[in-house]
Amino acid sequence: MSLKKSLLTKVAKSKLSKKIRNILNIKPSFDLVDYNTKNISVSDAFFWRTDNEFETIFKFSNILKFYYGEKDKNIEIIFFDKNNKFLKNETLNANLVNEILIDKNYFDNLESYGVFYVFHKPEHYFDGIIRNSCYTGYSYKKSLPSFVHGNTIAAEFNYNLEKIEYNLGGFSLFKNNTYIVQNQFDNKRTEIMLINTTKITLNVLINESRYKLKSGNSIIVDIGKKKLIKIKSNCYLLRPIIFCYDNAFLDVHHG
Amino acid sequence: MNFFFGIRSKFINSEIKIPKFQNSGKFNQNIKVFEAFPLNNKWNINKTDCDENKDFYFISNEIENNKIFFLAHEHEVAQNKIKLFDELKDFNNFTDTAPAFRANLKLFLDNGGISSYQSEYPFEMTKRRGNILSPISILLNKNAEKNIIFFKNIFYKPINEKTYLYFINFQQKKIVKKVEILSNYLNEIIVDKEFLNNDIYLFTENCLGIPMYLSIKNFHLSFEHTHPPHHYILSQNRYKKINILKNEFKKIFIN
Repeated sequence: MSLKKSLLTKVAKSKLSKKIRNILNIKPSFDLVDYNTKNISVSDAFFWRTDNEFETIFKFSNILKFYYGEKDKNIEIIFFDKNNKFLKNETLNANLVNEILIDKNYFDNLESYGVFYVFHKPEHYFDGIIRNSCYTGYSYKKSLPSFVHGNTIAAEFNYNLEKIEYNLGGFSLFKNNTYIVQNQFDNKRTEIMLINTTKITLNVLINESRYKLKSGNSIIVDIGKKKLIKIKSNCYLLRPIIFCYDNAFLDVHHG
Repeated sequence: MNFFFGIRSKFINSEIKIPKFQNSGKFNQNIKVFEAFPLNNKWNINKTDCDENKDFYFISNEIENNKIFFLAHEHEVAQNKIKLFDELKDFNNFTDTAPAFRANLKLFLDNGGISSYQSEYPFEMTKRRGNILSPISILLNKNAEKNIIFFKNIFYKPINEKTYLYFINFQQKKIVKKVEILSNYLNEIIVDKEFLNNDIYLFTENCLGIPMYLSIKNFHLSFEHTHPPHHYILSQNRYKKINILKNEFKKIFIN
């Protein structure tokens, strides 16, 4: 790669450049992570739900151990409720592949939903940025959990600064973005789960209904028997997790 | 440009719903769905005769494990007759979108569950060879009655090359299972419970593709794909880092 091209790539991947691109809507970025920095653990926003007889299973890799050869080290998982209120955090001494069960007992009998983030803590400085984008399984009435991978970058733990920054989703102040899920919903009932990964309050239009979603908040919307899901907002990647119910069966996938 | 595919298996039915619209909402009512399969060192390409409505093409009976599907205008490919191509082409840019243009790939049982994900196979990936590396246990379930890995490769040349997919115990640096797979084919691998070990990884020899994981229990299904390693490392040195790791895996089956 030429020096000029390398420099341009660096500039394009910086946080400031991404913010400017997003405001001007020129090659907008879905996230505001600075890809030129190192020693950073990035997390997708993962949904948990314990309402309506749901349990959530989270299966994840120890990315630092696998790719960087670190020993079984700590992974921190931080949970928030649907209103972005801190619930709890958990530190795990993780193996190559790990699993945790999030049921109502995990939150002292809380039957609700919200978001969690996963950060891998290095023993020393590491020359990279890693992303946890692993797998949440949703078990309905104790049935086989239906798994879906993470799909939206939302937060980072910068170990140079020992600081977590949330709500790193890309947004524009000036343009409403339309996202139509590329699936037709022929099942009995469908719910979608959305999180606002941006730093602004979003006015979200889901089909014909309007919702206000504060930064870091999440929402479950029943879209009934609508065959298409159309979402309009200021967020460049407001991609839902979709729960399709068909009699006793459940299909969960991302939009 | 993206390709799409389905799964033909004695254990499960599948359906693909290919949208006629981009996820930003731009429709193309003139675009048709075509199918391609390799025969006698040529890609046989023909218009697919399948159900449709104003928004989607629905493909089910037409699915074969050696077939792929794509959207194109008739003048770009053929007009109601089989055309022979020496290699796959990037026929148009209708499916070149961000976020990615996807079709819903649904698996279902006659008397039971459903599970799907939003799928695509990018044209650029058909031009490359390489190794797929993915943990086996992360999306399969020890308590399931059946666990299956489907591995789909699409290569731009119309050939069915034999190669191998390995189950490798990374801690012990040992091959625990070796399976012959074909390029340009949907390969099906039944996974015994003994291989649902957190240290075991899937590794392919000189063949890229998409590994998909299906668990079946009490007629409930869970179906999801894993991401390639570069999804988990965001820094610009990621390919160097991943190559070091892949070389460790290669050493195991070369030795």
